[in-house]
Amino acid sequence: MSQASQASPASQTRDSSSLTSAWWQQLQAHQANSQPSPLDEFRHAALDALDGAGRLPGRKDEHWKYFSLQALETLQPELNLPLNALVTEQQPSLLANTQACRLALRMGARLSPAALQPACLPAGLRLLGLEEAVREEPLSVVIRELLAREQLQGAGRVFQAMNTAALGTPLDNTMVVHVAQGVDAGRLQLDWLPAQADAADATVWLENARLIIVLEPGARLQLLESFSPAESGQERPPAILNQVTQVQLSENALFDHLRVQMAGVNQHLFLTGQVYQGTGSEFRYTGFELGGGLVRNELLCRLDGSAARSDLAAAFIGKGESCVDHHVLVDHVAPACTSAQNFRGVLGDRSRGVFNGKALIRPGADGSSVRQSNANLLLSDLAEMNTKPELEIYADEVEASHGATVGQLDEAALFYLQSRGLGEDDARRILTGAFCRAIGARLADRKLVEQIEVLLDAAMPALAELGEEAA
Amino acid sequence: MLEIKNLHAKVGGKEILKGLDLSVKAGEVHAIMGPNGAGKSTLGNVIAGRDGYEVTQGEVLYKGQNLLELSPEERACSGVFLAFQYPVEIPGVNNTYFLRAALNAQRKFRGEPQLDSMQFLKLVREKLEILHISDDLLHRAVNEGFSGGEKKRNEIFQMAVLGPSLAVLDETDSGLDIDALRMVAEGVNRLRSEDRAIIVITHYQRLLDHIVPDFVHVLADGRISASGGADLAIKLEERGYTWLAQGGIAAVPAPAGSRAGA
Repeated sequence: MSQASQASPASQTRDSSSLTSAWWQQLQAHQANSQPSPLDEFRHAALDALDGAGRLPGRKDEHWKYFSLQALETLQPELNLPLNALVTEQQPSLLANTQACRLALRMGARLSPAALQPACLPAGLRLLGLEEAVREEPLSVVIRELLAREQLQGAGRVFQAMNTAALGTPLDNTMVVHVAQGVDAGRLQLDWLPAQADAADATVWLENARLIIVLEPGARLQLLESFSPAESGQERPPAILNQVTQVQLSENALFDHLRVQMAGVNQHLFLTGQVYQGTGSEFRYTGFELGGGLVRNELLCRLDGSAARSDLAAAFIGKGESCVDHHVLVDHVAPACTSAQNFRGVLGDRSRGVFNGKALIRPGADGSSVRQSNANLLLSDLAEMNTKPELEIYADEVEASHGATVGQLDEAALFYLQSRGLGEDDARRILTGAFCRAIGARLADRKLVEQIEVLLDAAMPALAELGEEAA
Repeated sequence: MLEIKNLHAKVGGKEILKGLDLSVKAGEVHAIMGPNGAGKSTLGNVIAGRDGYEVTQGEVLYKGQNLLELSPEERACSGVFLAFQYPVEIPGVNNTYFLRAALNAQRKFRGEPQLDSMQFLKLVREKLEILHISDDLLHRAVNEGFSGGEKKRNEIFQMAVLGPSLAVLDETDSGLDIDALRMVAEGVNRLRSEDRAIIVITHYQRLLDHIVPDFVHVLADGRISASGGADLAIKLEERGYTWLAQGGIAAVPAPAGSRAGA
């Protein structure tokens, strides 16, 4: 056992919060009871990285300057997830009629083994628990490599370190998705539902979830992931989802990830995505962050094989006091790869947005092509956007463009709509919606596009009040 | 239909309209010509209610009502339409969606029932046919990637669908080749009717070969400096605006039925 994991709660660092203390105590309890597991080395590395209870990143940490965790510090969350036998129950999803093999997952509940065997799974697509997957060769090699590549040191990595420290314990909720060589697995849909509706239950859930996705050469998968809001009119205790998604794409594999999130204001999402791409592989990410209180989405794409493509786009909406933060790093290691980042934000009320997008073109990644764009609309004087697109180029013959804008609605367009009879509020709503719809337009499936447009409209900040503020 | 009396308007602190009078009756087509900077587009924008156009004096009565008190959308809903000199591109807003939202907003304002998609599509198809526009225009974003001619035709198409009582066409001929010009003009001619007034703002007489106006007015230095029949446009084309400035105005008596320029 490592030194760090022997630390008692009494020896916690001075600035640890009640949130990290609660994590630590529960991790400790499981550490003491756990049986030896092939995942121990990763768990111990994470505990070492946490060095005691760990510290939540603050304003002094470069990448957390504009993302305050203060609202979470005093929470005392429960990490022990009860096993959920009902995960496949038919619940309405944000995305309907998708022709997908669908799993419904309740936040604050652990996947039951039965849930991993839905009848709809096509041949060549398998869902496995982590313990099962790491005992299977050669899949375990890929998984161990993914886990070994995690960067867990430093306050900025505390969420991922906490997640990894829980691996293989009942505090962990990991699902491995495997698509066999050459198989087009079609669509898999994961619907995250809010924690069980029980008025008397005031449990603050902190869920460590992890998706490990392995696509063998030439395999294809489309993942639709949705986060539903709590049913309207229900006051929920806060919930935190700490989700890590690790993806290994072998040569010529294609992974298309659509994420639509309309979490409630009390739901806080910490997402870490790490995608490693082999030669000729393609990763498409289309995200819609339309709700949530604190939403942090960190995405790393590492282009390890030549001629790989990474195409990332997201629309995000901030309202109330919410904060939506995208930290994106596309790491061009191999030559002749292509990447695109296209992020659009609409911020109303007192909300805050952050975009920190970086493309790193390493020596030898010659002939890379990089596009990067972040455009934002501020709908209120009190909303704030911090944007920082970065390019670092150390290779030759690189084609690169980047840019960021923060602005208001185009007055000429507004007048044009009004001159046709649309009221100012409607005109503003239409233009704001259109700004985000540009992201949805890239989806090939017309039915999905239409559903997303409805969700976008529903998620828009209240414009009537904003109009007054702007006046 | 429209009575403009002693209209003074400023743009960015600079007085552009300096006592303009104009009277337009239902069923009439008036052409307003004039050199660059005379205030032609300002007139269109003041009528439509654009921000930044400050009326300092005078009045604009539309169907007996003070038009200047109304918001741009209220004007549109009451039947005022401006075909833009530079139609605005609006990426992400589908042309059909936009036009149906606009038409239904106008119908709601007037207490008329909303059109559902089927009813709307039927109406749209009729109008497309009149204007010889292919329906692929319907599926595109408003004006996005349209050629100059397509944009102008889209303006007239919107006019056809919305069916205004008063339409102001602001340099609808600019940037059009001869074929496109003829097509746009033909569309406008089909929209002439007894209960509709049209004001055509243009630089050149060539549009008026196709849309023959009942009255022609010359706008110079912020006011109507001359008025006449369709033949005035031809004389202007031959002799230029300087001819007017040198006293040519006296040769053109104001036509009966128009108080403009009196």
